[in-house]
Amino acid sequence: MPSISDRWMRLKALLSRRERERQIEMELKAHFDALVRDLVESGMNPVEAREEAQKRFGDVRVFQKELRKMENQRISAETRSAFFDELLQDVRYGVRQLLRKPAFTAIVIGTLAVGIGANTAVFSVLKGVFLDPLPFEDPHELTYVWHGSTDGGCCGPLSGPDFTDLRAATETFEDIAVMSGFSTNLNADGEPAVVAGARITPSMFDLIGTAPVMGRSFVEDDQMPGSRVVVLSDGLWRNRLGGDPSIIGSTIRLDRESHTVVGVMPPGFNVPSAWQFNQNWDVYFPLTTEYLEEGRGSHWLLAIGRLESGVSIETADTELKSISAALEERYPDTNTEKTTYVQSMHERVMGRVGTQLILLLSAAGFMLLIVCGNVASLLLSRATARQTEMAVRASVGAGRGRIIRQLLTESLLLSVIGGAAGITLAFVAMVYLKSVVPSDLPRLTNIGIDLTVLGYALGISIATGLLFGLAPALTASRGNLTESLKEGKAAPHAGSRRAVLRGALVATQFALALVLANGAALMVRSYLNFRGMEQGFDPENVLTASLSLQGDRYEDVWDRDLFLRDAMEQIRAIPGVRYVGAKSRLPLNGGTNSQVWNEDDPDRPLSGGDGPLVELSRISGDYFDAAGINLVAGRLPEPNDSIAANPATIINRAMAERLWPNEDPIGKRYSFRENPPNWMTVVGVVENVRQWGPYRSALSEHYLPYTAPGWGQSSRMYLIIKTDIDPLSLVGQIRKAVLAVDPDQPISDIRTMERVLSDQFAGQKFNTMLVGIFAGIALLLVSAGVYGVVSFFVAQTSREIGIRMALGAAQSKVLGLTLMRGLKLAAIGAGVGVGGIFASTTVIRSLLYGANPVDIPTMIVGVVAIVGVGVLASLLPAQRAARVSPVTALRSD
Amino acid sequence: MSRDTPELLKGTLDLLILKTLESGALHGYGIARALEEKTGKALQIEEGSLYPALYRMTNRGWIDFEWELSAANRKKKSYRLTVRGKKLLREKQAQWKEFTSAVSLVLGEGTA
Repeated sequence: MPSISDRWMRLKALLSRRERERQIEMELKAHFDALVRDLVESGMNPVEAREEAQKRFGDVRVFQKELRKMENQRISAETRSAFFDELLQDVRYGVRQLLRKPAFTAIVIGTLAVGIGANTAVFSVLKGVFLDPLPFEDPHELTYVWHGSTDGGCCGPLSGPDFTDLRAATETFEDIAVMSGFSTNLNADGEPAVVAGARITPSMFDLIGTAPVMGRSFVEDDQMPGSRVVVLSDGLWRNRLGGDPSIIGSTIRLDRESHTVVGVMPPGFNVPSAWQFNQNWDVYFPLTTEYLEEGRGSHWLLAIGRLESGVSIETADTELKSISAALEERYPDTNTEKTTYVQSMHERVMGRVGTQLILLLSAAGFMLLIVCGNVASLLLSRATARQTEMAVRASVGAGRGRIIRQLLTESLLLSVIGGAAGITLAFVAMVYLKSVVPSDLPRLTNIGIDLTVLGYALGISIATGLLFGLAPALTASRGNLTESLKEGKAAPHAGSRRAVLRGALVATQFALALVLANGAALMVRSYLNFRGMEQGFDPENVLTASLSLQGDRYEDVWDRDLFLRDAMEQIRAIPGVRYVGAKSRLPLNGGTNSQVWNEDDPDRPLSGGDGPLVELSRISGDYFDAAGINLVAGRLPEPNDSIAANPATIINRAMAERLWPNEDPIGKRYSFRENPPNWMTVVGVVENVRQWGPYRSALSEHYLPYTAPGWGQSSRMYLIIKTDIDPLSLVGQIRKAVLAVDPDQPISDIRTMERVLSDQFAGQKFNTMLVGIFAGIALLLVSAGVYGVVSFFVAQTSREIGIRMALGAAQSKVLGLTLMRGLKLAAIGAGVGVGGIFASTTVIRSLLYGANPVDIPTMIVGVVAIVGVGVLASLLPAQRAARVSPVTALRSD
Repeated sequence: MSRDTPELLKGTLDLLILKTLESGALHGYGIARALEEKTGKALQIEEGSLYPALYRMTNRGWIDFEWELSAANRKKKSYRLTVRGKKLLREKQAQWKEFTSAVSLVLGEGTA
């Protein structure tokens, strides 16, 4: 047995290097002195003895350094092995304990896997979409530069001349470049295909920080009118053009014109559009000077700017605003009350999504907390059963700290294994998630389980283990352990403390579950509300497809119109097609707007500040019949409406009520150009359609025949086709019909109207589904928790119940008492939960698209549900309690 | 031979120390005296050079040390063989026997 002095000396050596040196000196000196003593005893005089001893001993100094080094090595090896020894011991013991109760272990690991897995999956989405920096060089310096108005209205694209002036005058930006996207038709080997093109100023690639991987970028000369050079994306080069490395210098046909390929961008590169971040451009064109010099009042260019390093967005914004003020003075016709806004690219792309994702992560977090509660509760119940074991350990000398360490190791074992299982679950869940995630979620392709996500999973596994393991570990090691060594008796104080703890846990779980369930219920209601709203059109059996009429052949609007009419006629001839029409924008998908002048009141344009005014749509064919939009007054369009002296237009009900309240709008005239006015006559009024999506109310809208004068006769039109049978079955024939009119003309973006409609709700559906799943799991967990607590309570008090029944208590009374137990916990939990709901109202608002988070009826239903769960889960144990035979209970003493 | 400790002697020193400790625990001075006695002063090494050997063998797990309070209430470090050390001693003894037999054969002297 090591003596006290030995322990003490070792401890001192462990803690201090100086002490180690001292001990070495001490040992050497002791030897030396003993040598001297012996020599003196044998007759030498002290001085001689010392000299002789020195000779015999050797040079101490040489040794000491070596000895010091070896002593240090010994100590570090010892501490390391001691730590690992104990750890290994704990782990082995823990594994044995867990294997002894396989059902218990399986349940715990299973629930942990669900909780950790869900959190991991949601986190990976959060990280991929929001947390990861944008894939550009120094992304924090990138901004969008917007056109807006001085009264705060924002954000629209810039005009060419404004951009040129801003770029020349700015000192806070390193560079600004602009882009405009469009569809173009690629004519390459076989069928024509629609590809996404982007016109950019030459410095765009440089600004973003990526150079072409083959060939060159654009130069200023490429901006000359008539220039026919392009840079391809890696995707287009690989997938459609065969990935031929000698493509530089060869030509491809776009919109039936030859273009020379001068460069190819690296894989994964894209210029981010502010309106659809996931839009990948296939081919880049230089923005030629003729485009750039288009009217100052024509706003169509998306501007991306890179700040000078160290310059803040506010500084840049202020500078651009002052430049805009100067432009305002110089060009009052176009720039009055107009200014510029600078917005960080990160904020634009991910601003809206960030909050929602964080809320989803919180919901998953709530669920994980509930999981922790369950596991802690289970562990507490196990702790009671293991009291004897703990007492034995304490009696053979295990300190309290050691016991706590042992129990925590077990908890961490459980949580880390649970975490590993959870990660596997997350992988599976990711596959499913990616398929249902809304396609307009930015940076979809960046979502995946990488090292950071794994690190996160490990982190929450450990945190979870500590969280649910702490309370049981602390209670198990405390208390009068020797009491429990006595035959069959559970330590009374520890037992009741544990029971209270478990009760508190369950009540907390109820509170969390209530908040979660309430949130889920609100979201479901909100989703159903929006989904069930009257849309104003009939999406059943309607097909949509887009056409892009580009190139010399379609330069003139009448040529485009002719094509449209011919194509629609061909399509109408297909058996099964009932109506065909065309429109410049799909319903619900945004539009173009303008000011409008009422003939009755020519001095006051219909405008309010500079906000959305009147939606402008160009239509052709039987659009309203195809889309199933009801006519409210007047008549539907006819083929010659556009060539009348005052072209005939259709307006919607909102516009009628706005311009001519309480009057008959039929026959009234309005213009949407100020000077000179182009008067149009209203011939019909149709029902409202929410052009800007289901979450914004319908705006005034007017529908012009395609060829009527004015602007907005876009080269991209959507075919709307109403069929008698399943529309998708006719796609092939429709495509052929279009090709019959122009063999180089593809149709693209083919979707049923049902799909167009449901795509609008994809985001809300996704959020609602996830939170619903979390809430469902939470409720299951909570009922399991209540069941466990109440069962345990019944088992512990079976003697008491037996006594009561022996003394005459009716079975129903016992049943009631036990149910009360569960009810009490549910009630307390519900109370706290309601408080939590009120506290979280502002936070949850953004997930509800405008619905009120504090909705009393929903809350009442939630509380009743929670209490119901509590009662139901207690039912089984309560029945068991009622069936306790007093004789058996009393006998088991 | 006294001054230099060639490689051969280093390994031999270990063997000597282990053997000395076979009969019981000793502190450094005790080991030096026991060696002196056993070899009848034929072997003289620098007494200080025992310590690197002792520390090295401690780190390898062949011997272990313990601090004790001497009669004069001084702290002294005493060394003893471990189980591993005992095993190693037997192995090294056998190796030594083989080695010396072989050398003797070559040198033509009879085994002592």
